[in-house]
Amino acid sequence: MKEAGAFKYYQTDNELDLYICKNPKFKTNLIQMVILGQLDKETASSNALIPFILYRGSKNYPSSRDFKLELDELYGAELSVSVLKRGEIQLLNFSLEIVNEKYLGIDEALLPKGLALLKELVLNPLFTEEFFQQEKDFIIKEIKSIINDKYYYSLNRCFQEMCAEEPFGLYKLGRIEDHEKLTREEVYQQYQKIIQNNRILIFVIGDVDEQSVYEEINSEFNFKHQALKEYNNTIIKKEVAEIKEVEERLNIEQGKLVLGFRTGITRKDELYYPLLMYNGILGSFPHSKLFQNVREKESLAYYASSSLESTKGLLLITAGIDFADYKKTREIILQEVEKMRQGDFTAEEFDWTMKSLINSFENTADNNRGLLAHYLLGVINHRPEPIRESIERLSMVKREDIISVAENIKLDTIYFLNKRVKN
Amino acid sequence: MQEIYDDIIKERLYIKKLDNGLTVMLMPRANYSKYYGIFATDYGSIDNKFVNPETNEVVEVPDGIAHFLEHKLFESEEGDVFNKFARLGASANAFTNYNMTAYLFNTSSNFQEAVLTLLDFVQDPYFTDESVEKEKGIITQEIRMYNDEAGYQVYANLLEALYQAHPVRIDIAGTVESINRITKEDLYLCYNTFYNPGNMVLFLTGDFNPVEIMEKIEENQSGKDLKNYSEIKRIYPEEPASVREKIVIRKMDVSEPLFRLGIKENRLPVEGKELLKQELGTGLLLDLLVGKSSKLYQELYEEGLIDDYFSSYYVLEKGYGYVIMGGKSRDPELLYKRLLEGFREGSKEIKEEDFRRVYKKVLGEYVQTFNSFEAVATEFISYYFKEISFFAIPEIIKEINIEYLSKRYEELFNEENYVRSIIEVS
Repeated sequence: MKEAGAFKYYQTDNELDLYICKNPKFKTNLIQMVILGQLDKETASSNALIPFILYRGSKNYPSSRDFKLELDELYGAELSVSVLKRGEIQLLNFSLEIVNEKYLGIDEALLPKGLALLKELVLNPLFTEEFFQQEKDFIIKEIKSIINDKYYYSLNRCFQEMCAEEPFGLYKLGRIEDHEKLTREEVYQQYQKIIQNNRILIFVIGDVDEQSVYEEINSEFNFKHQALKEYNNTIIKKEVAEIKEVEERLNIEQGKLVLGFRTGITRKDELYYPLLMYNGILGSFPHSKLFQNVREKESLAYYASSSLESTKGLLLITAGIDFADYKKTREIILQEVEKMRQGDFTAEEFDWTMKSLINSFENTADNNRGLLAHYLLGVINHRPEPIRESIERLSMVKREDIISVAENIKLDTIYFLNKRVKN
Repeated sequence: MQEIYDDIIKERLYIKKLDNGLTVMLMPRANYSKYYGIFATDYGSIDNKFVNPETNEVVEVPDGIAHFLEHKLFESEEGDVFNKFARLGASANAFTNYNMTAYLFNTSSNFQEAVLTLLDFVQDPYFTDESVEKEKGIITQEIRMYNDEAGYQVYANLLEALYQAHPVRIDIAGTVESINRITKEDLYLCYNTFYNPGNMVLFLTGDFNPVEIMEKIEENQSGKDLKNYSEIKRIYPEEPASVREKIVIRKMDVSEPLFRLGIKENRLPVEGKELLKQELGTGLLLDLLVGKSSKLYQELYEEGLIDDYFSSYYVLEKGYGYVIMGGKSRDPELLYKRLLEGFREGSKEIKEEDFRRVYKKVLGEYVQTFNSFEAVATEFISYYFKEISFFAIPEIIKEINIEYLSKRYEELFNEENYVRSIIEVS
């Protein structure tokens, strides 16, 4: 097996956590800065706005166009900002990917220039009233537009209903009513607060010299910062008092069925790898029970699959179906879940799933963004591990472990997006 | 075996046309544990009318059949093909677009077996009346899923309005009605016409020895008795220069209107080099006029007419081409007006330094492609079908100058070539 996704850890003088993965196979260098914060009603909306306001302009690049002109000059480097939710953690991402100059036949070192641009964006903002107002309007529209993508909308609605009483029920970009009340001053203060106090991670992946990247970042990103807060206080619920059923109607041609389950298992738990096997046998591959039974055998759906939220401890099953097939599909899905509980899966299903999961880990190690996402999830769950170690832990899973996971899986919410009845 | 070394990205490509006509491309990549393989035929949804090579009769097949055939090849006499890959620890998939159908896998173990499995399943069709019927329910749900996707519909409606006759105006998957007419016999006819080795390419990449794997492939291919027709006769209708409809408006459950502007291309080169030059040149022009670093983009963003998802790109294939741009917009009417003004102004302001800047960007993006096996394989195959090499990009881009861009602007950016597609809030 090849060197698979190992990171070296450094801490800078001002307590930034730096993770560097050196590998000559990548033709670009990827840098990602992640500001972590607890997801809560009070700060989610203003936090979510910050990256977008920062991208509007800095003191030396007073408009986003100025950033983009510089990115063209840096051979089409990509600079992007985004907001994510993992468990009850809100992540503000600032990512820059830049070609390694040895493939351009030039002497100019591009990585320091990319780092300088990233620093300018995050630490030297203009933060004008105009930028604030416009970005606030955009983010409100963005939240409203979830409905444009019916698949994503249905997943999000299921999470929302399921975790209505938990911070996880909040959307990653916050709430419209909170955005409407915000002022520039409040958001600016929040910006200063998170820059100074929140946990900040920096990942670098590429054909780099680790020590010199560390030195560069240690001297360039030496702003006032002291990480005080614990950011992962995600509530892990294991029990379900009553199963919720929610139905909604829109003008659509296909019904979307989403079943939300509690697993109570996150990445730091011993049962995490058995859970991966459980999810794989049940529904994450074409050979899985859901694809084979809902799609191949019954022709009920084009997609029918399961997926995990591994920081909050949830599992979702989704299928796009004809409205008339709602009851039948739901019944078949629950039957397959019951089979898992009874340990009704073959040695072949076990073996194929194990191999498929190993293959997908190996693929992850060969993809810079996938590798970053894998390691990041490990870090925020307090169990960072190289891909090689993930594969080793996975390989030790036994049939009995999967059955003991199955006992923990509790149905919480059934969500169905139905068609609007014409009058 | 022909060997090509690319001095920019520092990788090698090996090409060989086998005795049975199959083209094999191999790109070894050190330090990767992943292997990726793709087996593609020069046959897509637009090839819906052709000459039956057995009878010499012209036939027209139901819309969506190339995609239907792609689904059905995953069923073999011994059962589900996905499971054959799962057994090897490999993951298989496929896609159909307007121009090609491709079958693919990735794996980190049992690479040779996976390659042979890929070749064997695609070269051994097995269709029954029963399995064809069963697939109709699945594909119906796939079509319905797309029918609910506003972002896809605004694009599909645009193509339908841009073209009067060319089959690119028809959805790749067909309609619920058209796929329900498909029979086992139709599938065999399309398969026999388009899946012969002379019409196909195999591209493999990963950390392997090219000589060794080439031997395995040749051994596999020489052991099969596959038909090869000297020429495939595809029949495309005469497409008028003018567009079908200037504007198409539909309503859906969306939060704000979706807008696309399409520009119909009437200059359609057949020669590979010329085609690539036009593709790159027009892409550069588009970038200068309305790309993320353009003045126009910045203005429209500040006016709240576009958001960060607004994008534009140029498509050029043998026989059709178009520009497409758009995103969500609070006011599609005003956005259209502003785009028109912006093109006129922008075209007068293109300077040598802007040109040099976006040239750097294209070069960087070319290198970046090589980080992704999927992207590299797909690019090499689709350019091969256009009779040019993906490696030619850095050379050909040097032939583009400002005069070429002005000429392209004059040819393409005329209001009579414009079509708008809008999804309004229902």
